[in-house]
Amino acid sequence: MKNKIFKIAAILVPALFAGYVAMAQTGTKAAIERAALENIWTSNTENAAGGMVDAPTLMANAFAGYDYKKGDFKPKQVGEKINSLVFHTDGGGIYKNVGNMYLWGDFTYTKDNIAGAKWNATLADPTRDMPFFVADENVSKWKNQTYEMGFKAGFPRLVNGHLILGVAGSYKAAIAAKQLDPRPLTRVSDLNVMPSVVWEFNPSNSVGAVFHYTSYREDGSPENVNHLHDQKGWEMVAPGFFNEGVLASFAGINRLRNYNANALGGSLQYSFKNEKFKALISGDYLYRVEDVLCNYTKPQMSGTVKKTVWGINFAAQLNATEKDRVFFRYRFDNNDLRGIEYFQTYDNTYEVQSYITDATFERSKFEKKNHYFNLDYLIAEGDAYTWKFGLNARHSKDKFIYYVPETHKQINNLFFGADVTGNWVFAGKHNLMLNLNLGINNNSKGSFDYGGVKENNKAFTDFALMDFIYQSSDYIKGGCNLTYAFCGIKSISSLFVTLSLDSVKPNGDNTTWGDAIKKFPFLSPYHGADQDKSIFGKRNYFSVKVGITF
Amino acid sequence: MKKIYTILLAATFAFLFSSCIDMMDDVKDTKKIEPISVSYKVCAATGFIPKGGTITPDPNFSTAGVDVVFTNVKTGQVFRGVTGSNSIATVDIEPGVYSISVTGRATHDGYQYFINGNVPSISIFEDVTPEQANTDEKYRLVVRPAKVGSFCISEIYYCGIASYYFRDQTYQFTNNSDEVFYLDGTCFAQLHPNIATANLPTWPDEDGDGNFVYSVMVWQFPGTGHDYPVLPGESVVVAQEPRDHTTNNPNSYDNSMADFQTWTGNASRYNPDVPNLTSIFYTSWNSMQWLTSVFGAAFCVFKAPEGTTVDEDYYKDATHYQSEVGKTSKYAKIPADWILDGVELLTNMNAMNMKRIPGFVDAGGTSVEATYCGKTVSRKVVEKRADGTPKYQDTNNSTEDFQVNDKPVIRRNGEKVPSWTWYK
Repeated sequence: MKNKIFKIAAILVPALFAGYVAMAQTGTKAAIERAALENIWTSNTENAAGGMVDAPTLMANAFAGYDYKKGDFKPKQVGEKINSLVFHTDGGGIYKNVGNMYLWGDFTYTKDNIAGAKWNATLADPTRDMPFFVADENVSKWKNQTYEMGFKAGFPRLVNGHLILGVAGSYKAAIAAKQLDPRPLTRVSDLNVMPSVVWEFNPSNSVGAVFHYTSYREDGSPENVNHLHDQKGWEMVAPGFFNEGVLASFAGINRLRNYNANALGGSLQYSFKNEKFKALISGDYLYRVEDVLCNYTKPQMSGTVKKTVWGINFAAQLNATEKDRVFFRYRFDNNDLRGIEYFQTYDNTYEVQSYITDATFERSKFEKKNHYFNLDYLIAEGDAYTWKFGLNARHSKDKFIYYVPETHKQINNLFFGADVTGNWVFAGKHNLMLNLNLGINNNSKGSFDYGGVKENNKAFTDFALMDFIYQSSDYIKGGCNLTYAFCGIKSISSLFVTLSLDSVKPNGDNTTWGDAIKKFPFLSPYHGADQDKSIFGKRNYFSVKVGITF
Repeated sequence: MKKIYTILLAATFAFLFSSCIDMMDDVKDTKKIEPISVSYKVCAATGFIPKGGTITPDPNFSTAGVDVVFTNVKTGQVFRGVTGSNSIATVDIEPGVYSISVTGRATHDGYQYFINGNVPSISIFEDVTPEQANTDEKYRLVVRPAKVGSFCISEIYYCGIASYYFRDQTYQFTNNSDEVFYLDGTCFAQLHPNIATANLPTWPDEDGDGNFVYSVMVWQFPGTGHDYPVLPGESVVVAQEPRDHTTNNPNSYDNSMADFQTWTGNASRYNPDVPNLTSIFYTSWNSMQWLTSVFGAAFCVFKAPEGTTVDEDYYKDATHYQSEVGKTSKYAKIPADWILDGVELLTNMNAMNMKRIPGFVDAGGTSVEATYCGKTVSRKVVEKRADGTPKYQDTNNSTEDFQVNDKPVIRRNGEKVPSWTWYK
């Protein structure tokens, strides 16, 4: 019955609004979305000079928002409840009064109040690819603040209009404060500089290149405010591999983690365009090395992460008619991360008194292969659209190997999603946009052959294992996004309010311990007595944004 | 001006890139880890062992059949081997930093000896063949055989109880042999450093290797020879402050029946009924109380051989104390062959690489793994005598010999009270 109601509603609601559809207005949210699809260089590459090829019209938006996430279908390190305040602005295009340069900038401020996070006492973002950190078992709150800003500039053409130089940059500063012992005050700075070049052979054919440099720093040391109560701590080196100890005020394991990363990379692009069709193909490569120190005064290495990422992108746009436009995007990326561990001994001789590296070995390998597909069809209207239909898919293959003692983990997931967006204008100045989306994830493979000796340690049972179950879960995802924009104010394009609701729910094999054991028999020692006990509930997302486009 | 900015910008980027390239070069050719096979030879050495010099193992002292345990200090993984008739043990391990413990017994010249030794932290990254172990001194585990002792530490309550109460620290000793042990002149020492650390002290070369342990506090039991007999199965209790501590802290317990107290002069912490032990050496005096680390200190009991008098005057002689290289604090030198028993208390069982006392004193370590948790460590009982008193496990390896208990108990296994005690 419920399904029937939904089906009827799905047909009737667009029909009811159909009569009110009019020309979408310049600079609305739908126009910004469409521009993102059509500006093939700026959306799919880091090449700022490519902005001159796209030549986007000037657009900008700014909003203040509130995000709320709640639910336990998440990695253990992520908060069960997150309240976020966000301020974001971005905008740019071709500036005729600055020599027809392409300029673009963005700024985002986020303040997160996180509750219910575990197994992290170091990292501002525990989901970033960093296996070396200090963890604790306390269910903690965090207060995080992030400032992100970026710019892109494409300079006026040179060499008879063939050569375009560009530069892009971004900087992120973050501070993360855990609210329970052991509590770090972690600071992050992330600088990216990307000079670029495009050679335009003719209006149809262009090639481009980008050089990428990253400098990343992060620094956190979990301390106890209550010096009389020691905390347990884990020096993590890989899932299931760690050194357990005490985090005490003047003894115990090393607390500090100081991350220092540098990355060099680049990408090459080729694009073709004519009136009906445009396409871009690009390949990118990034090599990043991140050292993790755990002592300043007597420098001692916790580990090094060596990460190589290479990927290929293909993006195409077909304008079947003036109104019917199809967009296709595909990306494959291969992320190869190696965990390097150091064997150091402290030379206590009076003249030396420092750590000496006896040996260095690559001990772990994390490999992620991702395929992303996006297919969108939209019915253009003015600079926006009236309807947009999208299909997306993602296939991911995650592998983890710890060489000795030999441990293998593999997780393969295939996600299918579909979405539809309608964009209606009433009385010339009221704009309503509704997006409905649905997705389903199918886990086709999950295995974790743990060869370590700490299979009964909490850091394995409650952290490594639970994250494995989370990552190898089937789930369904649904959501809607409603935007109302008022376009009757002269000095701006629109004033908008957006409400979003999303929900992700595990289904099938990993819903209860009993089901999970059927799928992964090796889990049977860990489930406890009650096999009907659910492992994860759902996770809901709510967000409201108020902003302007201009 | 523009030029200066350009040069500064170029110099900044040049600096960033050079440090970036250096970092990348450092890890470019890092080898993948692979298992290795290592052989080590266990040798028994008697007499003085010079520092860094040639150790001449006793060729007639057989160490066959001794357990050699490699514990990876990072992963906790344990690899075990047994010495063959050539005294060599071969084990397949992963490269890493290991603590190696040697545990076993041997009979030599009619005496029973513990063949216990420990290397707290040794880096092993390449294969070692039995031939290398036989010929290269680097791959020898030199063990100082220790005569099987009669008087042992049977229980230590050191971690305190919530909330932050540590005045109830208690130490219990038991005669584990079948003969009478005379407590007279026996010493109980807290060893240096107070907290387990991977950064072990460096001692002057003149002391050699493993010939001494070093103490921050030496307490001596009274008596002139045969005044304080401890019969088989009897135990002696020493407390920081003997009293019914439940009046101070309901979570604590009553150790008012302790046979001795380690009083340091604080009038409000004195039980006049309980005899004092005499402090014959201390590195620094704390007149509030004798508090040992709630994280776990290391202790030993020792007795000088007949003919040697150990008292306060003994430790005034500069040859009987020592300072770390480059430091001035003084520590009592205790010759290895005087030691009857020792126990290494670690902050947790993963801190085996932080062992501070040599393997011949204690080849392992034990821990309650938390502070102020009210738990104790005590020896495991292996059998009971006809009178119901316990016989404790004593392999000179506290990892194997000790268990963790939820709370302290005075004479938990039915040990008898010595006849001379004040407490009847």
